[in-house]
Amino acid sequence: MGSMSKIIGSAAVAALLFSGCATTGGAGRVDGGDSNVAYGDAKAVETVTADFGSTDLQATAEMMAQSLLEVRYIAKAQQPPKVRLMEVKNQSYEHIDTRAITEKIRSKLLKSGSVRFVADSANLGQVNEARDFLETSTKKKNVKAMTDFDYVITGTVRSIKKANANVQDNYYSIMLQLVDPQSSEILWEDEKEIRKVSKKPSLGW
Amino acid sequence: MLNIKSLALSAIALLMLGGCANQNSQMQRDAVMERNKALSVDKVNYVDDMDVLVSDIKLFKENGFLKVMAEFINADNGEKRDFVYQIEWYDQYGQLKETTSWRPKTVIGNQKIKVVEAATMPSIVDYKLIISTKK
Repeated sequence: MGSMSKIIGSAAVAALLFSGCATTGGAGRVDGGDSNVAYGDAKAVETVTADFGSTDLQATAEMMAQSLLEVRYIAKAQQPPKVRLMEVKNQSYEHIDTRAITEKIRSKLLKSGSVRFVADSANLGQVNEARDFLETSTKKKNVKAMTDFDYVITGTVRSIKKANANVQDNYYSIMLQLVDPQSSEILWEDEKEIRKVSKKPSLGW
Repeated sequence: MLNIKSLALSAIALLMLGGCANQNSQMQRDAVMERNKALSVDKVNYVDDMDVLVSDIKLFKENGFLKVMAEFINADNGEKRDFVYQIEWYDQYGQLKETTSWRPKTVIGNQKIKVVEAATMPSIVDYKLIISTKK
């Protein structure tokens, strides 16, 4: 009897201890009690600083994808052309992940069904590995045909920054081009311009 | 003497014209507001104040992709308004397929701006425009 009550007592203490460790929050939520973390709208306008931000990335990619779908080499093509993403040079003063812009464009264009993409140089090694693995069951010639492409997308990001004691002005110009690699002809080009102005507070600490 | 008379007449004419302009802009604003009330039933959604209104919407298809051209008007006479808008794209079954990111725009007092947005999926046949003016 004594040992039984000991076991029940220990179980009750353990249950209390474990419930103390459990996190707070409603159904489907785990938070740290007094946490300041919250989820926000990923597509909301972000104006934390005047640097290149998520809003600029999204707006640029969406505008460029819309523009690309109007190009006659894509819109009027007999079958969706194969495109390869090339480097977009960052000639601005700040770190901008230009691949994030082109990959976002790729994702939009793939959903449209009007363009096909071949693997870009960043993950070509892995693709080749997979191809080598597939050689046992498929003809190499067929697989190799997938690496041919009709056009490449390339471009440049530039910025001009100016500031005085009161105002900081950041101007960005993102230029993208669709190029025929056979002839080096530029078939399409578009520009997204962004101006961001931040005013410094007149009273500071 | 003649000069004073002509000056006075010109001033009266200007005042009358000014009155007409105000009345006209008020009438135009009322017409735009009425149109927006009609649009807001299913095509335009105002998240908060109706400081920036939609004065015109054109819908067309180009290369199989739906395009929307919207014209925004600052209903306020003097103040510059910052606002954001977003477009929701729907397919033939009314399924939400895609949303654009929120686009920040500024329109100065009593002026209009035009924007063009295109869907990037051919299955999209309908849209909804969402406008927010609150900072």
